[in-house]
Amino acid sequence: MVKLLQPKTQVGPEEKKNNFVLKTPKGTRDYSPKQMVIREKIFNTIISCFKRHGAEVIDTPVFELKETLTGKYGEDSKLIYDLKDQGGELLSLRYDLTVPFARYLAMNKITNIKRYHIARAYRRDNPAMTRGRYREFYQCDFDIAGQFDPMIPDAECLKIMHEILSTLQLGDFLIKVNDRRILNGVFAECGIPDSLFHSTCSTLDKLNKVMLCGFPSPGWQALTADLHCPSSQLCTRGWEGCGMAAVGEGICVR
Amino acid sequence: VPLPGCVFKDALSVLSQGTAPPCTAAGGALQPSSSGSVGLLVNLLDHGSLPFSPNSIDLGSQGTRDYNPKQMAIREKVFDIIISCFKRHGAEVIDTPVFELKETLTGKYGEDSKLIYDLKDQGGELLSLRYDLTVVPFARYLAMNKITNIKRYHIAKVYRRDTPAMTRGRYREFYQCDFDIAGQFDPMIPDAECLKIVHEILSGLQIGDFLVKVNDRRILDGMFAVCGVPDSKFRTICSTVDKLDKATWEDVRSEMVGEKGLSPEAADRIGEYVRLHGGLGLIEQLLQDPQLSQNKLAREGLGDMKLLFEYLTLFGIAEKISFDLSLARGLDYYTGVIYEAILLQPQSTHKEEPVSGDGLVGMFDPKGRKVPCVGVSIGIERIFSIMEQKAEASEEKIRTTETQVLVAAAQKKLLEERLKLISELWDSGIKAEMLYKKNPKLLSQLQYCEEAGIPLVAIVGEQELKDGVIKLRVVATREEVDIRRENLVEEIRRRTCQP
Repeated sequence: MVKLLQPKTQVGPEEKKNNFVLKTPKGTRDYSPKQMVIREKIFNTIISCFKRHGAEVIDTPVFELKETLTGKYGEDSKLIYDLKDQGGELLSLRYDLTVPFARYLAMNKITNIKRYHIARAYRRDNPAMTRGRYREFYQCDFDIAGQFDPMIPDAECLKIMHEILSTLQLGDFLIKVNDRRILNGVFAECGIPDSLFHSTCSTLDKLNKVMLCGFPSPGWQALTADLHCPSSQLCTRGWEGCGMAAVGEGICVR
Repeated sequence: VPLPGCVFKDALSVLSQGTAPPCTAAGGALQPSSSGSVGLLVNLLDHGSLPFSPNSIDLGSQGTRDYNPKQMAIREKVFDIIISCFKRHGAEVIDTPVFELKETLTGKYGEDSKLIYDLKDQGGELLSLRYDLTVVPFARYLAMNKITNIKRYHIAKVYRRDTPAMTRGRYREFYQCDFDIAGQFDPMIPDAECLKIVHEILSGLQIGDFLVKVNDRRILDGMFAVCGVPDSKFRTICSTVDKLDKATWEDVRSEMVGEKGLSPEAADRIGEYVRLHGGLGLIEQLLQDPQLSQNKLAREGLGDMKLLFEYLTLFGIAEKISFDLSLARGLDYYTGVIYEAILLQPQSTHKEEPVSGDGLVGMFDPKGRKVPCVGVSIGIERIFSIMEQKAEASEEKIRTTETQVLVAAAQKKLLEERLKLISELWDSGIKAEMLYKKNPKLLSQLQYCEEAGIPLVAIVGEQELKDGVIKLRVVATREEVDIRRENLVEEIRRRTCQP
């Protein structure tokens, strides 16, 4: 109470003696009340949509046994936050919500569930915070697990996306759809060896950043041009010029 | 097996890659899943190539738990009650990162510092998981943003490398639920509001009769002084008194005299005081106490306590609040009123369990050293476990979804009609589900409703389609009525009492 009665002016100078480090860790942020209002509004929109579609919700601990995460993220594993070995189990912060979900299903022997999970994941990345990317960030996963007749749950997932993006009023949007089997079919037809499907696919994935519109676009030309450069990644993956062009035609059909 | 979730994730990650940039700007809520995760999940579920065999039960880390949908339903209910109370009292909400710089936490928790989880040094900053919400993150937040006035709540998980008794609702990862009023105000007005909040929340949760014990650090210190405890022993004697809720007076006394080296006379005088508890009457009596009334600190504390009880009387909650001289909770920086709420009788089937061992609510005034701060911290994990036990004991089925209606078909070949109808319902804000089968049997659709507790079934049938109606079936009573399609949404709303 003595402190309560101190005049307010003393609060300032006293703060300097405060030995708090006035900084949040790299790649993280506080949410101020104003930001919380926005966050709440977004979550409300998303959660009420998930509930409208009859989803349950689960939560999992922020850390998992280190071994649970080991080998699940390939090269990205280096981005996992480990906890210090202070005796006891070796732990890591969750990297996404998918591995915890898979562990949850296995642990509880669940084969059928429609669930959402909204929680923060952790990645020791070098984030561009100005673009909304952080080392600590929310993920918001909705999954329908189980065996069903084809495309009914898929259609519902797309409906959910449509509802959420419409309600959030972020602006006009377009949902792109493809199927891994169609892609693989295209690759096969274009003469790409099976062993290169995966890497071809991940290169193709870059198209949405380089291709402006239609074919042949400057971006696409840049990609195909890479082919003839021996040092390029595309070349080292063994692309054939003709195969590339064929893929180009294939993927431009919309 | 196709995993439908992948469509959603793929599409979201596409969005985040630039086709709809506002997504990533919107508070980070729609962060993409890593593009590899979809294939990974399929692996996990189908090929068993990863070490999640159904037999390895012990996959969770010690002292933590998953929340399954049922537990989440309870958790949501508890949070709803608490958050709506905080909002009723005009609180804002903040959130902070799960970890802080290690040095931010250093030196804040005394001996308990050994319970702090550190992150491994992987290059860059040294980090630790937060240990509480108020002593560090909130104080850092206030200082960083130079805030001297805020009424905020913060609900988040904190981390302690303790050896928890999980069955009693104690975990290494657990929720805290803090409400604080920071700033300089006239005495006891914010304190009274905090007690009102505790009263509202504990009443709202309906977990049994409760009592809030109140004391004041100044009264305790004044009491020690007039009993002849040397200044240097205040703190240690205080922590011995704190054991009174678990130990008998004889044990406490022998610790004071034996271990702590207090004179038997002083201990006996303390004994006279700490058995006192009551309300305004006791405060008046102590204000007249020939010794206590001579002590400046005690007099101040008693004066404020009197004021507090007058406010509590105006709020109509004084009968649940007990001024209790044995309440000695708290750390150094609790310099004023301290509070703790206890359940008077356990609601669980474990009758022998003394609930008073764990305070449900601890409140401290003022805490935080620079900005005066009055607060409530709700022991929410304890409340979860009480609610979970209660739910288990009762016959009432907990619903884990809020689905109002199942869209079903009476005959085959009506998938398209079901899709059309369910889409209409979703777009009207009705919570609806359907079975993901082309031609489900009516019986299995009805069974699904029973299991999931869905109250209504909208049945599409050939004849009904011709007539422009939908058959609405009430699952509980099996009553069926034909509703004109254009009235269906209204009817479902009416029958499920959705606003």
